Amino acid sequence: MNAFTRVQWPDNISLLYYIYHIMVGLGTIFIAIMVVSTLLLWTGRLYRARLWLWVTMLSLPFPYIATTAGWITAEVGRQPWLIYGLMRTDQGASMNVSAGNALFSLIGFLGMYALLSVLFLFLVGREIAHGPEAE
Amino acid sequence: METLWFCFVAAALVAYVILDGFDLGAGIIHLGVARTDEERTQVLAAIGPYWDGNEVWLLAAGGTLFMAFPSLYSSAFSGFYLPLMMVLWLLMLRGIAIEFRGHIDSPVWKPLWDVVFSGASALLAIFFGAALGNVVRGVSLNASGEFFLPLWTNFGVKGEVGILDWYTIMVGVLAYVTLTQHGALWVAWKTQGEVQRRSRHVARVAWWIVVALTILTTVMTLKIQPQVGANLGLHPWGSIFPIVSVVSLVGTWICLRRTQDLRAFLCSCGFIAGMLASAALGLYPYVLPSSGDPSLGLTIARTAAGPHGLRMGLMWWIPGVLLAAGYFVFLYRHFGQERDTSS
Repeated sequence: MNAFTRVQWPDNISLLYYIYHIMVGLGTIFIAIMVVSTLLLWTGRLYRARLWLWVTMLSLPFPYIATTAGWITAEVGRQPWLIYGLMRTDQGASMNVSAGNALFSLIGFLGMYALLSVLFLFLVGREIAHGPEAE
Repeated sequence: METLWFCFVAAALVAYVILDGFDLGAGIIHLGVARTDEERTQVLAAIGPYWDGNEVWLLAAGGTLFMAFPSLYSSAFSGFYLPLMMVLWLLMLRGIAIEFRGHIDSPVWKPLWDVVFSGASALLAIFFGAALGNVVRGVSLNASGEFFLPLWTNFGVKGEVGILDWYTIMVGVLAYVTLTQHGALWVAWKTQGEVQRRSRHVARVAWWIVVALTILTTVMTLKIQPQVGANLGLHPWGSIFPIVSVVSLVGTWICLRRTQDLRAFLCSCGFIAGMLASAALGLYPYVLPSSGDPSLGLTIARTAAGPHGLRMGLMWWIPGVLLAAGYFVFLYRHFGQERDTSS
């Protein structure tokens, strides 16, 4: 850090710090959940442990949060480089695509993913309410 | 070496259009040839094991373009930014529709996704055709080889052009009708009963429109892009491609008459391959001509990666494509004999 002047220091360290810890923290929780679930499965108590089944079901959103946090870590952490040591992000932007066009595509993707999330939640909710197949 | 890579990109695109073409075509005719839920399931089953694999060839073509002609890739992906985003959304919607359709058995849910599937397939066919039209017509390149096209300007083919003009729309419609016929022949081969009967009918009607539009488009192409005619004069062996197209088109008709569905489909493959190869040969050595000053057009020599990169590229491209091709041979042999006999 001392090799650079203070104005060139990155100003996104706190975001990077917390998002990285969210990713790693959730990863640790997953390992814990898997270990406990495996132990319960081996001892044959998993399908009757109501409290634990609630925990596993409610942890459904965590993998999505963890992967998103991982992406943010990678993309924030790499700044200001697009290709490390070779090309900076501001050199990689398209000269001919205007901000309005980028906004258009951003809104399009937001709309598309909003629709997909609603459908996903709807289908998953339906599946959970439906319950497992009777054995 | 640049020419070799030009052929690779062209070959990957031909493979994409032939393969994904039939499932796009199946999507176009989906609502028309299949009326009941059972019939629609038949159409979806006909493309079921193939459609997502077929899209691999679009990625292969894009990846090869990125590797072999990087400055063309950067110029074209900025310049065609808006339509490329729309193509991406359409591909997403289409995949979602196929996957989501079966999740809920309801008289609202299934037809909704059938309409999304069919609409996205139709628009994709038109977009891909219009894209080819843009590449043949050329775009408004500046001196540094960059451009940005609005969706449309005054629908003329010279000067400040847009993505859509009368020529690119015409190529889009030709692509739409060609893929309709292509998909109908595939569905006719893969299904039985009413769906098969209706698909054959669609293919017969589409055939006449394909013939008419092919003649019209060819004449207009020779007028708009003199390079195409000049190249055929320069490389007389290249007339093999248009000849393949014409022979295949006649073959499609004969096989349709004799209700030989598979042969008719293979003829349709030959027609598409011949047409696209003719276009590629007609453009060579350009990869993206200019709609204004011809000397601004992007050629393979101007956009290719360094000679070392191109040589190294062969070492992964060839094994990679052999792997992909091997997988496709396995896939099509595995499911090839299977025809839906549920009706």
